[in-house]
Amino acid sequence: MKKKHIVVSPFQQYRQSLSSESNELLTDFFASFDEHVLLPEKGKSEMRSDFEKAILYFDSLGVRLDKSLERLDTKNLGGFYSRPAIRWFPLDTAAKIYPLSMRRNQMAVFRLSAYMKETVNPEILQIALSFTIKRFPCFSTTIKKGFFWHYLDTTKRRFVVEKEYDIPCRPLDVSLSGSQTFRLLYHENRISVEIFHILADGYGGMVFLKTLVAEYLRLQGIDITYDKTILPINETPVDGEMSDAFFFVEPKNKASGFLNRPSVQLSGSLSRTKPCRVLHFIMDTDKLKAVAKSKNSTITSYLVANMMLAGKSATDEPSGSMSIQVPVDMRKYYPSGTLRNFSLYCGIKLPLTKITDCESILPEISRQLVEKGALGPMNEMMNAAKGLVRSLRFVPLFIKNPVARIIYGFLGDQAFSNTLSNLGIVNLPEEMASHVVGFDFLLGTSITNRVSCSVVSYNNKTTFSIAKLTLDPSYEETMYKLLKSDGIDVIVEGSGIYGS
Amino acid sequence: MEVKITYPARDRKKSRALLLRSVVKWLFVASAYVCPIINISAGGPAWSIYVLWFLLFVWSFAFSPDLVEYNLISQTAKFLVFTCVLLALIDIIHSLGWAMFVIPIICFGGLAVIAVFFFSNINIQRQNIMPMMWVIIASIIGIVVAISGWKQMSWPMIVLISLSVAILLASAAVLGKGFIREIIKRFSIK
Repeated sequence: MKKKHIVVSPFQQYRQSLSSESNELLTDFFASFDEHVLLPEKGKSEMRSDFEKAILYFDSLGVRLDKSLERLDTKNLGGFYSRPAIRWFPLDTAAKIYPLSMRRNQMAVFRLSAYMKETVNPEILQIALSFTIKRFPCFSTTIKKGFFWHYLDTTKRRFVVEKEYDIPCRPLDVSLSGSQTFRLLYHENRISVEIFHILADGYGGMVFLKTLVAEYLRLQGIDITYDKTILPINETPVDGEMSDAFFFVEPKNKASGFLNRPSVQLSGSLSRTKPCRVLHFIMDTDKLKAVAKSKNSTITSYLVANMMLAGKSATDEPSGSMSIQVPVDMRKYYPSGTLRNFSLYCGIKLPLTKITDCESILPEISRQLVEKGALGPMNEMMNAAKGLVRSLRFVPLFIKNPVARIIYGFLGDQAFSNTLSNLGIVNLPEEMASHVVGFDFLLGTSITNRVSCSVVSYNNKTTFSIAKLTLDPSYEETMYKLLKSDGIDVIVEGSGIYGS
Repeated sequence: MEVKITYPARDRKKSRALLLRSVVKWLFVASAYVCPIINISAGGPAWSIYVLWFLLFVWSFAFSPDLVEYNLISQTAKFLVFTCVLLALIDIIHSLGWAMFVIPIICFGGLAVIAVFFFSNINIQRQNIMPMMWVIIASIIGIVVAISGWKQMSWPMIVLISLSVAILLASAAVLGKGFIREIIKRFSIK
């Protein structure tokens, strides 16, 4: 007769080693867990296992059981996992185009990363996500098709943390019921969140990442100070955070700003893998600011000027204009607490013939940035966006979908040569700052633009990131040379070439 | 320019899958191009139309599945629609005359399968109710149009319309407010 092997899990072994008092604590803890988590059996047992692993991790660090259970208190789960999924959210005005234009290998995804002082612990990160997600109702959703528009439908599930093993900003699989519309990844000391743009813009994404990192650190035993960009996870979400802020702005003047002539594109052939490479130029913020100031400009103007020069060096087009799309955060004009999309963009355009050297193009770039990014033109664009959405609201999705895909492919993307999205300075409270060494921000690639650039500054370090769609290295090499020639030390980090 | 690599290497299997898809895509495009040419040169009934439809059918299921709402109910509904159109095309092109009898049978069979998927796991599948509703609506409209055109009712049509109405009522009864909520979000113009 065969002997039956009973496999004792590490957690069961751990429990056997505990006193009856400690076991009682655990019994109470998991009874409370059962009350808070009413997910289907598979999700529930996976979540239970997350808690078991976290308890074992804390034990391995020598944290007392009562202390670790305090940190993992199931009250932090709230009612999120015990209530049915009822809420839904219409897509905001800016987000409506993203599901219409997405393709199997192309999706509007951006990525924000925080670099921790120490290697990331996946078990704790998983718990941090399980606790944090309820504070961001728009993130705990899945995309669905309505008759007229796509919409976000709440999904109650165990949102997962994944080990990073593939290319950054690759499309998310949002096809299945309950699919996540964001991806949380870890690699060594980096925590990255890749977000489908339908959920949020860079600001909303950064609030999510900072809150998640804060919760991760709280679980590690650090006291956190909350502010408007690091949200207390057990607070009830405010309606304003989930609103379409475009609708609260009254139309003031005419509508314009969408139709642009095609711009010069960089010349390298498009890679099959998107992006085919990711690069981060890490620079000293003070030095960068001093250089920009010495040229009577801002960091954004200075970088746009260098991007123009680098773009010219990477194209064989003899004529035409180079245009750089610069997103504008509308919160600076209309204070809003929304965590969803509330940004528009302006196009900084120069004819190729006028792109000669940094000093001569900077005044024009600075002027265009101020004028085109001002409230007036932004209001006009906002009116145009709202008007377009209003006029298409009764057109069924099955008609809008193919038309939008064609228009976006042929017109939308070609209007610009490149993009520069500047998230500005990330601030963290002192207790968090001592555990986070850096941030970076990466835009996903578009259809024809060979490069997409983004910037974020933290702790006197500015990270200029490039997501590439061509193997031609001219662009980044020129950019590097230009920065170095101005005396800026650049540390270059990034990926190898994907798909080679 | 020295680059410090801070990203893991890519999983190679995925890039191979992408390559395979693009090769198959060109095979499909080539077949779609050749079929009408052969059909026109050889003469006879326009069989290339249903061959093209079948190619689209295979491409859509095997190589280009839906990007949004890819679930048991939506895929069964899609399969049902593709099959019915294919049968209708074959029937029309070859003047066979059985479509009005066979298609309702296929439809009520498919609808019954969808209903089983829906009611067997209603907590999860309630979010996927709409593809089932589309099949029901299409069935009812189809039968109304067929009756007004042909002016004759067969037993498969009676079964299909009865089943459609029964599933519609059962869904509304079981989901209650959830049914209304689902309809509101699906038809929202916001």
